[in-house]
Amino acid sequence: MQAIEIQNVDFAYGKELILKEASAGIDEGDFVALTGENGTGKSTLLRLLLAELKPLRGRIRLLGEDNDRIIRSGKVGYVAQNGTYANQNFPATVEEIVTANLYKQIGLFRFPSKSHKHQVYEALEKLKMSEFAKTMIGELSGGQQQRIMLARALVIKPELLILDEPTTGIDMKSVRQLYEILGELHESEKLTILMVTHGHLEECAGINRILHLEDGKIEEVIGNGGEL
Amino acid sequence: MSILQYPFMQRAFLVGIFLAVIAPCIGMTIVLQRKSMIGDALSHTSLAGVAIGILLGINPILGATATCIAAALSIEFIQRKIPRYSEMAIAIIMSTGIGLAGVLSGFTKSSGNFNSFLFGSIVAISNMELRMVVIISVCVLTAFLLLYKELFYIGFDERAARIAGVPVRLVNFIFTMLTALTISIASRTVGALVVSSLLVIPVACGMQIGRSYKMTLVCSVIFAVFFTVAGLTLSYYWKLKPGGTIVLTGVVCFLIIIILKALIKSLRRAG
Amino acid sequence: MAIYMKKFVSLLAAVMLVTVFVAGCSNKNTNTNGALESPAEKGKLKVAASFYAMYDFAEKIGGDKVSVTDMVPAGIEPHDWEPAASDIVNLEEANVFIYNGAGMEHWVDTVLDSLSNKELVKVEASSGITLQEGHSEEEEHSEEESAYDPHVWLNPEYAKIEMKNIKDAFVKADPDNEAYYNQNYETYAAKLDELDKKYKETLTGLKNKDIIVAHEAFGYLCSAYGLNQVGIEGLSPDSEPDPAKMEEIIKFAKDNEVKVIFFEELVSPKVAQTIADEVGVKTEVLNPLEGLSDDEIKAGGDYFSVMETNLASLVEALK
Repeated sequence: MQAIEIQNVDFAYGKELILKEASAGIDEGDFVALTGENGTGKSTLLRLLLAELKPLRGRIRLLGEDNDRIIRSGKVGYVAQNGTYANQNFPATVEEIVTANLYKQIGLFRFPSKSHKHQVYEALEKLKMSEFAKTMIGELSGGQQQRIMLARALVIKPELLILDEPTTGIDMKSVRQLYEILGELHESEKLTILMVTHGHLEECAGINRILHLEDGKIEEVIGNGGEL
Repeated sequence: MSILQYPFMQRAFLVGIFLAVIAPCIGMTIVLQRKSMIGDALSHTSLAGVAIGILLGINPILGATATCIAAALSIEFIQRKIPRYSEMAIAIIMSTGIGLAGVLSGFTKSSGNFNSFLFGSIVAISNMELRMVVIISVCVLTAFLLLYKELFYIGFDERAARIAGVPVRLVNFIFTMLTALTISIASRTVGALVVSSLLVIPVACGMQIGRSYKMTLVCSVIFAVFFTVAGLTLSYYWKLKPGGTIVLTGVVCFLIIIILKALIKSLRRAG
Repeated sequence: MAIYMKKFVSLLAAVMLVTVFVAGCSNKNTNTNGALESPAEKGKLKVAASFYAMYDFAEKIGGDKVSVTDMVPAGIEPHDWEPAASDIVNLEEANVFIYNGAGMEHWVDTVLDSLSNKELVKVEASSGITLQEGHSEEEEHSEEESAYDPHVWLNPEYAKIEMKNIKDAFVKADPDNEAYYNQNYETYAAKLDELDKKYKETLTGLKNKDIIVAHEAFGYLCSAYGLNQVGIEGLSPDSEPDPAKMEEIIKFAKDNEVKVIFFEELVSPKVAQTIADEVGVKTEVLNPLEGLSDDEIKAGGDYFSVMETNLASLVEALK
């Protein structure tokens, strides 16, 4: 099955179509970068993928199923754009925030167990942030917060990871570190990654495909192998 | 202890303490999700319910509860259908509530009974009201604990919560109902005008001290209980209205904490 | 960080302990709310009265065998007043509780329910009196509960009945002094008869019969002596009249050549003054004995002195 299937999707907020018969397919194990000018609809496309919006026409499937269903089962890892984290001053520790994402695994009316805690620390380790487990989120730098958000997305051991502009507002060194981590994860966990980005793609060795969104359509950027 | 030797004060303390436990739970979510306007709308509407209850001859708290729930349902409906105008719509509900309360209060035979719900009254708590408060408090607390994870996540990052599989709309709906219940029963002891402060101030104090969400919540509850006990005690000996006294105790405490924190910070820097 | 927390928690615990300790230790007998109170002594009957008129009657009947507290502090309007915790404590420790009833004390039922003092002798002073209904205001609204006019004490003959009920309560609580209470009752009953006679004689001859008052406190007085009261506010002075009502009153005053607009000391005289200005007449006090100001108390005022002053004012207004 394909990890992501976008089939002839139309979408508009008002009268003008932002996406016109957009289609794309992402296979399991792909590490895909999605590029496009600002305002062309990348975030909208993500929102459609995440079932926050419904397409006017067409269909979106994730992991072989209706995307709404998959999202509701909490199977997709998602890292939002830096600086748009809902509440920086939220009085919570890193551990609490990452644990929260285990929601579906913990189950209704239950509380996290020791094994859940173990999973959390594992995820933090991957991002080399376990020493900050008991730190309040507001006390971390932007780059550190982003790593936590990535750890949070990874804690559920997702099959599909979606990132929205993860390199915005962080310095080059952190960008390289991030790409390195993503590359490792892609290798070791066979994670399917879709990353919306518009910068420094050449720094990210793991990417095996580039998709470009323009004029409401998704196109493959040749030069990195792979065809639609 | 002389203050507790009479049943009416025992009831007052019991009601106060039960309330003090659930108020910060609700308050935490309200503060963190920036929903204080909903709290205000519901507390103003509860007054209308009190007036209706008095006029119909039924227990005013029941009236307050019914109206609060009705208002909460309306708020839910609005947020679903016209999310863009939800803030304005909530303001309209609040205005309806307080307007009704004002007009209806003019028809009550003696204003005394109605007025006691503005700032609370501890001398007039009947056994039935005590039972109602206990039952509703236990329900609210249970629901809150069961929904602890959900409310935490929605408060921190509603979008990510949804993606993690949290049933956001349902949880928000239930939470609004819990808020309605808490506010309506709080109108008896602390008064409708003061309820929203009781939701917020202990949390404000807790946030100054807490080093994690759980700790912030626990501290908020401890603060709320402390304010209530101290406030009731002070209001008893100094003949003050209980609601206002409890809240002012909280405000004073908050100021003390802020000042202490600043002092400690500058001392640390010097040392 | 952990040390910080520990310090805080211990500080908080310490403060809580101190508060609880202080609360426990201060066993103040709080009867110092500025309310009237005859000197408390051992052996005296401890009486709580719900407002001034009850206080005065209790003092007269009980004499030096009782220690009476007026629950409503001086200068406070009793219709809206609500007991504070200390007042409840007072009731828990009292022997006799006197209240007017008939809706005067909206809090009485709830409070009596919540008391644990089983030996408290409660007396509803107005029982046995045929109540009349409140005036116009209440007629328009749905009548599940018609509002009775509670101001019975302003009719001296009814005041007599109230004193009798109080006397009976004292006798019940303190049978040893029955003769004493009876004697006091007889004394004041006679004085009330005299007062009634004086009111009758003075007022029946007067030309005008209409008085405009701050709130409808004088229903029984008017019924007894052929007068007609028009209240600026209703049975309870808790809300200002709406503009339509204001107009009505002003028109009434002009049509009936009312010479004085009466107001009370416990209620803001603003509205009365406004009406008086519109009509071009003066204002004067007509005291419904719901409470006395500090000055009046110091000057030794009581039921009779106030009723006499009221009579003089009525005469001035109606002649």
